[in-house]
Amino acid sequence: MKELTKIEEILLLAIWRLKKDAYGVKIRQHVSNVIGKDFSYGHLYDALSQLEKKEFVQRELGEVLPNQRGRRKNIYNVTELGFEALEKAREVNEAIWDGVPRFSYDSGSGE
Amino acid sequence: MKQSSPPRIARFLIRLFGGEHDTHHLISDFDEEFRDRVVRKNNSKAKLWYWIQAIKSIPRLIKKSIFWGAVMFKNYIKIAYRNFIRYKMYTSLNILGLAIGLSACILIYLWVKDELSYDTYLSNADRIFRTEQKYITENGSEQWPITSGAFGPTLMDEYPEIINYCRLWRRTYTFKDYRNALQQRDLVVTDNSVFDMFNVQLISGDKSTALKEPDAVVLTPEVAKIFFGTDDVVGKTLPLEWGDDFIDMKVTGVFKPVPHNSHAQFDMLMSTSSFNGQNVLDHFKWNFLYTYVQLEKGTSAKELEPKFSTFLYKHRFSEAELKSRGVTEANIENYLQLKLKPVTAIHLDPCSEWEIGPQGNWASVYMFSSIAVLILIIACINFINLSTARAKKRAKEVGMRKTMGAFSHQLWKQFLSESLIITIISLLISILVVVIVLPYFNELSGKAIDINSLISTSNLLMLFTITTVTGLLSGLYPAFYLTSFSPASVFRGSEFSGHRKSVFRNYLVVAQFVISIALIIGTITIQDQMQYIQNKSLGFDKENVIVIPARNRSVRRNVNAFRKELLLTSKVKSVAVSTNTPGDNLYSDTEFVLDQEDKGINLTYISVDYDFAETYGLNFIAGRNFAREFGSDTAGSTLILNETAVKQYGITPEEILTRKLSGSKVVGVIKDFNFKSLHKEVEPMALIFEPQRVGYISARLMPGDYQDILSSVKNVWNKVNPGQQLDFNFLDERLNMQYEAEIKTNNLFFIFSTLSIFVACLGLFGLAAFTTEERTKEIGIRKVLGASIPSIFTNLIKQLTKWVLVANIIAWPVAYYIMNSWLQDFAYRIDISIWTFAMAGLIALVIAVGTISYQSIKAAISNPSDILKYE
Repeated sequence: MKELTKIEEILLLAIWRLKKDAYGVKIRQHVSNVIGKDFSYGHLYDALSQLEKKEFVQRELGEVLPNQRGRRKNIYNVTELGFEALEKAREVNEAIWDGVPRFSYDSGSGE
Repeated sequence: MKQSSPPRIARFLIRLFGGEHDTHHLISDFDEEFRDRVVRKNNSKAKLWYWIQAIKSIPRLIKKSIFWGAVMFKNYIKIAYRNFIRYKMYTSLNILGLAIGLSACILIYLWVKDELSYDTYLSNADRIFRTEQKYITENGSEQWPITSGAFGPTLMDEYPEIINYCRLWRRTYTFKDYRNALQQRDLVVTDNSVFDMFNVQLISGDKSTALKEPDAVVLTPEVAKIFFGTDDVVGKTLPLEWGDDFIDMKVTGVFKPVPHNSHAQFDMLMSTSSFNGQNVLDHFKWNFLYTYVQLEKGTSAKELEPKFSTFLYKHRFSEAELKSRGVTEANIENYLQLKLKPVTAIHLDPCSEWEIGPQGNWASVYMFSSIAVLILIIACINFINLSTARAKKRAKEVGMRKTMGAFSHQLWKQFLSESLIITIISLLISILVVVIVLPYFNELSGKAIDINSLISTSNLLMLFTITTVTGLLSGLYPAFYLTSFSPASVFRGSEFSGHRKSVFRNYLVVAQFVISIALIIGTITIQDQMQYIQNKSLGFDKENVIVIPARNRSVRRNVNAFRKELLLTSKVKSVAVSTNTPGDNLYSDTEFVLDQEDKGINLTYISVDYDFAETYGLNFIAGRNFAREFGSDTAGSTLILNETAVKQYGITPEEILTRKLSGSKVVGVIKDFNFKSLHKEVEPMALIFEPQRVGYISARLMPGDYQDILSSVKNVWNKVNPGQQLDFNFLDERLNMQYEAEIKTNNLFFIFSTLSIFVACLGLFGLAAFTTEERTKEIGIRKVLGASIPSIFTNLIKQLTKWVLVANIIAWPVAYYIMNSWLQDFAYRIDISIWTFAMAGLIALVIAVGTISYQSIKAAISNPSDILKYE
């Protein structure tokens, strides 16, 4: 199984958190908040289609809402494979960060 | 507050590039965030944001739509391929029709392009003009391309706007070649400026001096080989027969052959200075050569032309002429004008007489361009008809695709790509066809179009345009028709009940027949007119006469001996000499005045001997021929007039015999005969008795074996004129050369209209096959109920016959109008008879019925039990 990139990881987590609200606008807002800068739609849909291709997410059409002229949203869900990948990423992350205390880049000084 | 909505145009752009349904989520995302931003910030900022998003997303959308487009396109090609294979006959009919149409179109395009390209290769093409004299008389005006030798130098002296001039004068001389044999050759006497103005390129020699010196000639390698056996000839001498003597001409250069799209063709040039001191090129009297001028940059020819009045008044006429015609400087423009014709316009807009060579005309350019378009239209109609006729078979596919969620733009794309595929296949075939038939086409049309010239940017662009337009033209309606099916009615089977849907097809078939019938009428009329002018009684007997040009002095001196010897063989009836023969261009600016009157008329005249009238079989209506026995016919002052001349003098033929004409005696009046081509009315003409002026020897042959007679003529010639080359033509061939351009046009027209009719037949054949197939069961039931074979056959062809008749009614007035205007070009022309129309209609009907009868008969004689056994 392929490694997740950081952005994919963020996206997957965002989708998982947003549940029924996991569509373009909300995902973008969430990611922008997390990374602290504007995340463009281009990046978003490119990454989403990558995830879809790897079968980490699946897409379904949202409900028809008023004031949308029948345009339906794409709602994303994390798949089983997606969860496995997240799980693995978490393990890797933890391994990487293992034993590194928070915000102490030079040991011995500070708090 | 009014709720603001996202910018429509931005939204439209997204849909345009991304497709209708693939962008739903994107637009709904943008819309949602837009509303959010309107609330949080303000309207214009939100709009700006929306626009930025839209524009940023376009490149990705394009990439995506290309990718998915290609995936679907693969599917369209697969389905198209299956359809082509499944309906082989329809596919091949379509491809064959389009391939023929496109081939014809490409050939005509090349032809038209070539016609339009004349002289455009000259480096100063837009500044080079030919001077032409426009004579204005009470009966209209006539423009002559010929001028006299002093025009060029004088114009350049007197008008600073003219920076260069070049004269071209066609002549024929006899030269002695390296084997000491005599060779006649047409050449052009010209100024050294020919190298710059006409882009004549020297292979060897110096272009700044090559034609400056007297007695200098330059020639093409081909001519050099004839005279010297080699093309390394610069500095060699070439003896030219001059009177009884030979003058050594010096070869000063070898030039590349003139491109075929030059209006002036020549392969040998001689310097004008060779005529210095001979009073030939330095006067304004006789018009015999062509003067070209090059204007200063930025000079307008239109503004320069009126200034030439002064020039014409000062030089063109003698004092006496000016006085007798009452011409002053102020009114000369009502009598004679000097015009400038752009060199590039000469080929398609030539003068009606004395042109430098055979030229083209706009009428044929228009005629062939329209045929090219018509033949393509016919092929497109075939495609449309065959596709919509088969719609029923495709309808289920369309219904299925729609049910599965295909959008109508996808179906449009599918059907348009099918028609484009067919067009591209046809294009490939037609390019192959063009490559194969181009040599024959060149021969037929007298062109020298190179296959390699097809591969140029403009030509490829043209091919691309023709193909796309054809593909779209033939694909649009079928696509519209096929995509309009509603799946529900297709599967219920109610879409095709009734005749409603075939009406449009019938209109198209009528349109095809209108075109075909008009083309048939055109072909018949042109053939009739050509027959007419080639067989019209010309007032003289053109059969069995040979014409021998007498181009050098020794031949002229021996002419009496030649005549005597020829008559001795008793294979020749009579021999005459004259300065010109029928078919030559002559011009009339010599005034003959009747005694006791002061104004005369201009007569065309030729000099003839005693035997001319007899040799040519001219008919006298009054008086007599020149006769040896009278002895009173003095050379130079005895005339025979034609009827028209006498009529213009306003007296009877009998009376004119008693009068004198400019001091000459009139001894006879002959019936009018067509000395010039039948484009022209008979002009007043005089035959002057001057047997010593020998231009041509004409001999009327006894009936009998030509080979035998001609070999005796040759023997006599060699005996009388040893070492001289014998050229001769039959008179009727000489006369037909006047109509060479028409005959070529005629042949091409015939071929192209036959092709378009053939293409129309292909479509009709396919359509008939289809409709009969549709009606097989109906026919079976009719037969079971007792219908006879003939009655079924009539039933099948009844409708088509009706449409052909309708087409006739539309085509007749159109064709009449067009052909009548074509005929206006001939002074002697046929009337388009009602029979032409009836004939065309009948031909169309026979072709139509013939085309569909194969299927109709097959259906009519089929056994009902075979057809109905599956029901």
